Amino acid sequence: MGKAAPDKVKTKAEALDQFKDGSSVMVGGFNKVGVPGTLLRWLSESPAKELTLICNNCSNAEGGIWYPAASMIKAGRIPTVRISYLATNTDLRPMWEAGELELEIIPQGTLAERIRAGAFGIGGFLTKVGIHTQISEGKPIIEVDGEEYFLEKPLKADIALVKATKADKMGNAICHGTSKNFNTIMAPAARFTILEADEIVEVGQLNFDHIDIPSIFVDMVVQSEKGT
Amino acid sequence: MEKEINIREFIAKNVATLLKNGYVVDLGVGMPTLATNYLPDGVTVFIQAENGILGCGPKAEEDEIDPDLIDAGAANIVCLPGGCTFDSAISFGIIRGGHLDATVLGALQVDEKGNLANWYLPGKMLPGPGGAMDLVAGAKKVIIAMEHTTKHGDPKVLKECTLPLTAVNAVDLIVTEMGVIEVTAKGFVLIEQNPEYTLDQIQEATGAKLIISLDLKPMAV
Repeated sequence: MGKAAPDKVKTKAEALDQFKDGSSVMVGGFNKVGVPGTLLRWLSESPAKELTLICNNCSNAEGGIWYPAASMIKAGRIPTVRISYLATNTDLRPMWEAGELELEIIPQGTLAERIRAGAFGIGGFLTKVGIHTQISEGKPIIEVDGEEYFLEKPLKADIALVKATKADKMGNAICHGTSKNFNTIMAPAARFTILEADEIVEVGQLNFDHIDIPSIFVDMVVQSEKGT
Repeated sequence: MEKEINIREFIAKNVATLLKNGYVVDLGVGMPTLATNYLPDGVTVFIQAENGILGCGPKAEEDEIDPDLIDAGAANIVCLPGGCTFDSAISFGIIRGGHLDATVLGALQVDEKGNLANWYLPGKMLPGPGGAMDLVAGAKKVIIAMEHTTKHGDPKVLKECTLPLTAVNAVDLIVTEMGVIEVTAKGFVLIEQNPEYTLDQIQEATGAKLIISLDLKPMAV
């Protein structure tokens, strides 16, 4: 790609321009690792509302990395949440039970695979996870070679906010340790993907054997701010 | 067995005896993870954590903490030599694809059909499934580690679960402070007994009929 390599590194203002009312937003991370904390803070500072949040977990611990998103849920700016693990957010159950929040509860591997399907042009997948529980209610059951499965549909989003340890200016990225989690699959599943990196390097400085997120899935790169 | 901490350790020790050398396992937070502290000599297991690591080592010492390396309970750990990290799609491919020898999880209720409930207690608690639904659907052996009754003394081992289900017909073994129960086509079979409790006391604390194994043994530890 050489000299034609695009520079996708943008400013906070340019990132904020992408946050629109009514968007569905995927956010990477598992617990506190691989979470795009800077982008979450910027999202909460934007006026965007009527959002749908798609994530594995979203702790409401004050001062924690997820707190900007949790505050937006509490304030009614995110009326729909599609999520797997809820134990770390004590607002969700009461809000859901009171009808103040639309909650889609998704087994974690099903969340990952639905995102993968959405990312890669697959029209859903057949699974046994949660079969004959509330999770499979209303979904078609399909028998394959004598085994029962049910259909889970793909998940896509308008925007994906993902986190990497190191990225080059065109968006190739490395996610160290257990920070890959949902970042590698959410990046290709959105119409527009913003990647936040701890460190941004010149194109050509990353070893092409070790790329976790290929640049083709990344539309914008921003520098992670200290403290997130 | 008055003190909760003793019960938890006792259950964890007994879970440890069920893990065979070379097993690849995914262990829930709490008692299941505690079990690795009590593996018998000569038994090594490989621990997968659903957040994307195979080869979870012990908790990281202060000077070896890597903030991007945690287990599913968010503890800072080290990755053992030969271990590897991967994304959630691969992690749940390992889980759903039947590549785990066993999983050990906690539960709110288990019934005699092997049905499990552990993700929602309406009006009180909504932990969500996290990886539990995937784990119990995919692992070759599903072991539940839990206290025999709720803190109010209500049975958790039941004829039929009353809470929203995590999985249907999925549980193989239940380890509690009172005994080890196998889920069979005929119902619950008590295969190990904690000698501190009589069979009557164990049955009394159970919400379904227990078949007593002809080969009933005292709990291993």
